[in-house]
Amino acid sequence: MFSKCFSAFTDGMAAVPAVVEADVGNGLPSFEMVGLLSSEVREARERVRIALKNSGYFFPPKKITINISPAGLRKEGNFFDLPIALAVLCAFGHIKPESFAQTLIVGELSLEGTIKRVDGILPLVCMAKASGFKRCIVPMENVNEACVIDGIEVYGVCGLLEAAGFMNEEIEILPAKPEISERFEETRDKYGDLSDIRGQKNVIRGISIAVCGMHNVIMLGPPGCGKSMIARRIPSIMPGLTFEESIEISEVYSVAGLLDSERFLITQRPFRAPHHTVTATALTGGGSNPKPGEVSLANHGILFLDELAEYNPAVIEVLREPLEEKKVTISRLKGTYTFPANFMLVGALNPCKCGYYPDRNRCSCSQREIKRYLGRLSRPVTDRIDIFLTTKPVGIDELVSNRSGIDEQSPKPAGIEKSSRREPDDISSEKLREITEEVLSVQKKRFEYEGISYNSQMTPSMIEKYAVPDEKGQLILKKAFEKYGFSARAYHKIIKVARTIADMDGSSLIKEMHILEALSYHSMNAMGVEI
Amino acid sequence: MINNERLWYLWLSSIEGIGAVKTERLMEAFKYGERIYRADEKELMEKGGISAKDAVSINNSSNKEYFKKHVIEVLRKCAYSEAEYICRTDDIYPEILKNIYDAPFGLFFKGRLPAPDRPSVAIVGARECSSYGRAAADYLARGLAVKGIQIISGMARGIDSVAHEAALNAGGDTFAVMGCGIDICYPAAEIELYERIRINGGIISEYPPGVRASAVSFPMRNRIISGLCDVVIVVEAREKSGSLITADLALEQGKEVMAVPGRITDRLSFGCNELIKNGAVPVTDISDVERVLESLITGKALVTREMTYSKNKANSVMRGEREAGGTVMSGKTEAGETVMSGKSEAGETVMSGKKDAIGTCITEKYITGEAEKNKSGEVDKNKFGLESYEKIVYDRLCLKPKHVEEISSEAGIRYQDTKSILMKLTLYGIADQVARDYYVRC
Repeated sequence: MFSKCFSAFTDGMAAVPAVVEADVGNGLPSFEMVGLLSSEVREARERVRIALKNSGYFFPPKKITINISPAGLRKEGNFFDLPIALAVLCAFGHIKPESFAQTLIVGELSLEGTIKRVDGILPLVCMAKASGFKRCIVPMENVNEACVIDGIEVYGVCGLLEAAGFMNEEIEILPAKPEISERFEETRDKYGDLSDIRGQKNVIRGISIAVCGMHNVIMLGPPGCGKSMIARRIPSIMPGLTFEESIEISEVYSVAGLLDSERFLITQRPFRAPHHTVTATALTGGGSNPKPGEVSLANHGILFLDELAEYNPAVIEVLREPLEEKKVTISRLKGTYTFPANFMLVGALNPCKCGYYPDRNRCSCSQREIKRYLGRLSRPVTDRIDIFLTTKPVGIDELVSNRSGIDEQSPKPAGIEKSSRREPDDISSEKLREITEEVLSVQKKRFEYEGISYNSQMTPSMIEKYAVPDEKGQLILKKAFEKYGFSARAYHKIIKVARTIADMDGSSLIKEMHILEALSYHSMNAMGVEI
Repeated sequence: MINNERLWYLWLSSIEGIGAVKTERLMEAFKYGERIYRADEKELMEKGGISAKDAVSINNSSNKEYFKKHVIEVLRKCAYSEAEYICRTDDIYPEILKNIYDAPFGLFFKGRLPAPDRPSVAIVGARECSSYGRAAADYLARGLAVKGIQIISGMARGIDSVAHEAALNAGGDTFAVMGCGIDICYPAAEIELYERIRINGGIISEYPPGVRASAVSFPMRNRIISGLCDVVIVVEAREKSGSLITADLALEQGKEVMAVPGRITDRLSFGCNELIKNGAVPVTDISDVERVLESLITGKALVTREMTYSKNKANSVMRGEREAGGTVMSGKTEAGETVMSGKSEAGETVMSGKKDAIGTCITEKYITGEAEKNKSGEVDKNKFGLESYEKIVYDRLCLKPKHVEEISSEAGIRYQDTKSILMKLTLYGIADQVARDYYVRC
């Protein structure tokens, strides 16, 4: 007898629908599988046979043939165990064939007949919805992850018997209901608050500008002055994720196998901080069956590279494409894979090997050593950085002055005590986030018909349209150009940052002050200043 | 055509183990270089009073091949790199240098030698200097150069190059004494400075073309730096620093040593503060140097600015004829005209005349700014049309680099506004960013 059911698999980030066909016929007993299968798919034969046996089904000696189509695409992954098992059961007459209609089935089987999780369920369910499936049968462990997609019924199953019973409508399972709204309301405490940072007003200001326009930023400073601490708190001043963004991020995490039933949806801005020993493949993604890398996992969030000068220069070079295109394209013999990579790059490094330059009392690195150290950052990469910041060593005054509860021995809950002691102009993440949200909404409106959403993505023609400095601004820009001999690229960078600063000021015109401030964040070499 | 004696000097000094002192002894004994060349070992030892080892090495070098390689070839290289060679018997050999112990017998130079009738000051200091050191070297070199004082230094990175650069920017004359062959620019990155010094002063070395810098060559060149000047100013020096060697040599040579005081906690100022403790004159102002110079120099009293510059110009015109470089040629007539009226005219005109003649880049701002400075002792910031906020920020600036945050909190202006204002001041050239976010006033 012949039967067929629907399944799917992931190919890079894309979900591809597949049809699993089973035929039971007379002849020498055998279990054949065809359809350009990788070995993990081919091994399903043993798992299915034994799982069926252990679930109590009798496995008659017949010639069984399985075909998974489309035959032209190589199938990889553990998605097909459950659909194969169900198709075989159907072919033997245990399941009604009509129950497979408009049903997508995925799942891995264990030998005892339980169903185990698969990676990349989110894109599969998205695809199912888009191609008109009515329901999905997924492993129980994946059900939370899968059910966030609205408009399709998702059923979680634990075992083969349960699945077969459900198909025959002998067992009733309710479609899973997501509880995602509360997930989005989770506190942001995870990131900490920027008000924890002592001193470094300049860096916080620069970071705030960077976030408001999604500009890439590099922090330069001596060790132990809070570079990493600040970087970790950057997500706290970014606006919350929209549901669409959240799904987009979660899809990547799903494919990478980083989701589980506890953490089934990414609702917070990703913050990825790969160690400096990271390889180029780990950063951009890759492998024979390409998996997303760190740049894709940082999609809509922060990619933080600490000790930037310590990375293998070749690894940093591969960032060029994602920084420019906001995506990663990996080409393999069997196809080209595209992963999203719309992240904000935050780099941190010391100004020299010992880290203390320009404090000549502590640093005795020669000018050449300093040049060589900073020279590890290649020009093409620094060209894509809009904002350069320097942190300065934190003084003891700054460290202790604002501390609450130090003299009164009792540790009080922070909150009120803290804020009442602060200087009025002190910065909190909350306040900065409000500014960011406002500025981003201004940009969204501005670029409504341009297909971009941030100032940093403006093309030269858009700059001409949206970012024209006023008369005084042009004058000062001219002066700066005469003095420093900037390139055209530098001009665009400065204007983009100035646009963001003007937006933060609520000014539709770019004024002299905005240009001047943008100039002060411009790159390290172009200013005739060593750092 | 080179005077014959020079060849023998050059030959003698190229022999290993024969330094300035032995050369002098031999020359006194034999009178003519050729006699030394022809003399045998015994004669050399008896008459010249040198050791057997030295006599052997002289004898080994007394052949045509050696002479060709170390004398003819060197002179050919000199001609190729437009350097000149002089020795102690020449008239233009600096008198001031003859008086020191171990004075080099021959000198190679490009451009000019320091003018004997004008005071010279050496400004030396650490290679890895702080921005304070830079600012101090710049201030001193500039101020002294404007007054017509010749600035001598070693063209090393750090203080040395800053001093040269400042002197050049002020339109003054500056001389670099190299620790390597005359045709080698060390450090190589400073080639632009090297060329500017060659045009507006001179490059001096006792090493023939092609000799690489070595650990011993620098202390040796220090004795020439201190020997050529009247006063040595040490700007920044660590506890054990080459600059202190220069200071010691200067004291041995009877030159005045001055030092720029620093904070007692700054390691880069240890050497200077130690010098002051030991009796060096602290420098906090240009006038300190002038006073010392006045008391030191009897023969060449401090010349006035006007005179200095007209003389300067005459020099450059003469060089213009010789070099026939594009800029020099075009500037020649102009400069010549100014020379005629130069003596009676004010310093500015003369300066701009010189600017045209030798193609240095003195900005308009600097000339007017400096003139203003000379009158009132401080730059008149109203000249640049500063607004009130900018004035407040400008007032917080000093020679010691200050971080933007510090300035912001002192001035009581928002951080981002302070940053913008400082950037503006920098663009107008009245403030400077010495390291990122650290500003000084100019």
